[in-house]
Amino acid sequence: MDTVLKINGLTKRYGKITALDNLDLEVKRGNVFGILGPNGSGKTTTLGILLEVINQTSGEFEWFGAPSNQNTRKRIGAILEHPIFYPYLTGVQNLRIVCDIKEVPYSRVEECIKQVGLDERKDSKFKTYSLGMKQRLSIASALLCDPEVMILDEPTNGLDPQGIAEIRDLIIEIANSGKTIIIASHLLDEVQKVCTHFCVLQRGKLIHTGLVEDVGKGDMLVEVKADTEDLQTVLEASGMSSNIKRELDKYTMTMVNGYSAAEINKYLFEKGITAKHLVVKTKSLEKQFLEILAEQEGGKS
Amino acid sequence: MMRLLRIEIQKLWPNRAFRWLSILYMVAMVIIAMGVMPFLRYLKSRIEDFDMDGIDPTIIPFYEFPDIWQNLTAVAIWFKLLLGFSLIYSITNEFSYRTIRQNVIDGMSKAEFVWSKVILAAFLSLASAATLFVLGLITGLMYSSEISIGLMFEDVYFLVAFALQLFAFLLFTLFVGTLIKKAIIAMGVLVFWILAIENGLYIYGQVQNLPWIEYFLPVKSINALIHNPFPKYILMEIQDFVTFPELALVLGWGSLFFWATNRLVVNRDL
Repeated sequence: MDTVLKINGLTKRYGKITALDNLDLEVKRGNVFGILGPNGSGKTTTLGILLEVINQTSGEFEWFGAPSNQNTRKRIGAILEHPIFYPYLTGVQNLRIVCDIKEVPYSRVEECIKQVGLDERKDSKFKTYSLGMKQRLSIASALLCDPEVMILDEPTNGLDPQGIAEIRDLIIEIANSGKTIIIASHLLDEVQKVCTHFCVLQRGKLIHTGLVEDVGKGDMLVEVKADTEDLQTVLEASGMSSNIKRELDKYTMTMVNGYSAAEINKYLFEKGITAKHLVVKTKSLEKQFLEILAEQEGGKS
Repeated sequence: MMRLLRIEIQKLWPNRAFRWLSILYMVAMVIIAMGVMPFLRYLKSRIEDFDMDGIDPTIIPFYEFPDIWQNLTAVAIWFKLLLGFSLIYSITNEFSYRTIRQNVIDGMSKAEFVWSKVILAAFLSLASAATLFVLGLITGLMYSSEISIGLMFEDVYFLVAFALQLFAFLLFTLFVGTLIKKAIIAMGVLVFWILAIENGLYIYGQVQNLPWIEYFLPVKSINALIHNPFPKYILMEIQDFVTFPELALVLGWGSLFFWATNRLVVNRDL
């Protein structure tokens, strides 16, 4: 697999604030790469530098194995949080300008507008569009050049559930066609559904990178509910878990020593307790994400 | 280059404010080019009312070839502010709508973006000069007492100087717009700079006998490329040609503003 994007020691300082601290990253062709992080962790700054609207303080990056220039960006489609177009121009007029910038024929405009379902309003001014339509126009604009790489920055922010679902379908569709996608988000559910790889940024530092499919691996979690007063003490006495967390009447056990749900069930039964809820949980990206952040906080203090 | 010009025209032409400013500018040029003779006739009629015989303003040979070129360009340059406003409007819009950011993301380099605006400025300057050329030919043929090809085109290079003046001035407005980013403030600063600061310093220079101050005033230097021809009609001596040092000064200011604008945009986070 060849490398689409390689980042080396990228740093951005705004005065005293370090928005991005010595970032190294590599994205291979065909990856769907999620960049996670809380607000203000440097996701948008990173994408801004990669698209050359923000000047880095130091470090470098390569697109398609060569230092970037404006022609590289003509092969990239970007959908950013706030769609930006000329408000006094119509959808078609706006896309024609993008065509001229990206040097693709005007014939692509109609195709892309149809593809995102904006045909009816294509001759209305951009400022009359709803947020969903604006976002769809920006998708159309990103598709104009038949991009090799798609960059998305919080693409579903502010959209209604239908809009979110449409964007998600689109991402999956593009990913299936073998294209590389880089997506920055704090919506973990979204990233887990579509991404193959992910990394976590915090205060401008890269604190984790890995495969999404590895997220579920590791400790097994079992949820238990039963109508007993002292369920917690009983469960603790079993010695099968390292940690028991209570949420209302539900207890979540982190299993150790290869014990599984069957053994818990048997144990409880022997104690004369019948479980009314017994579920094996694989860890979600959200849990993993919070754990990674918590570890990092712990490591610091 | 044609690609960048096409992008600019597509951005601007549907814009109502830009279209109005351009139309206003064109109308202003037509009025000043065509309006001098009717104005002189009106003056004559008023003078006759006051019974002051012997003064006939219509004999002022404003439209005489080849003087017409210096006369027209010296007057037309006063309307450069209208074009300057439309260019400020065009550049500040890109910042307030953040479309400059989108343009770069879509695949323009920052330098290319500045180029597109410079090409637009050049296009507007050349279009103005061409319009003035046509207007000059029409009015000259109507009113000039002596018409021959040689006379008609003798001093036509004033139009080139005029285009250059406009272009350098537009580069200045481009710089102001890029620096300030807000349309209204940039226009205010531009007017304040021309009327208050440059005139103030200019008068100060005259009073204190420091004539070199003029060369540090960009708009004054640009204006000075074509000297005011009208004192000659009251028999004063004027400079009826373009000198090389003055030309170099205008080119210098233009290059400086181009360089500064480019630096501002390239070093700025969008």
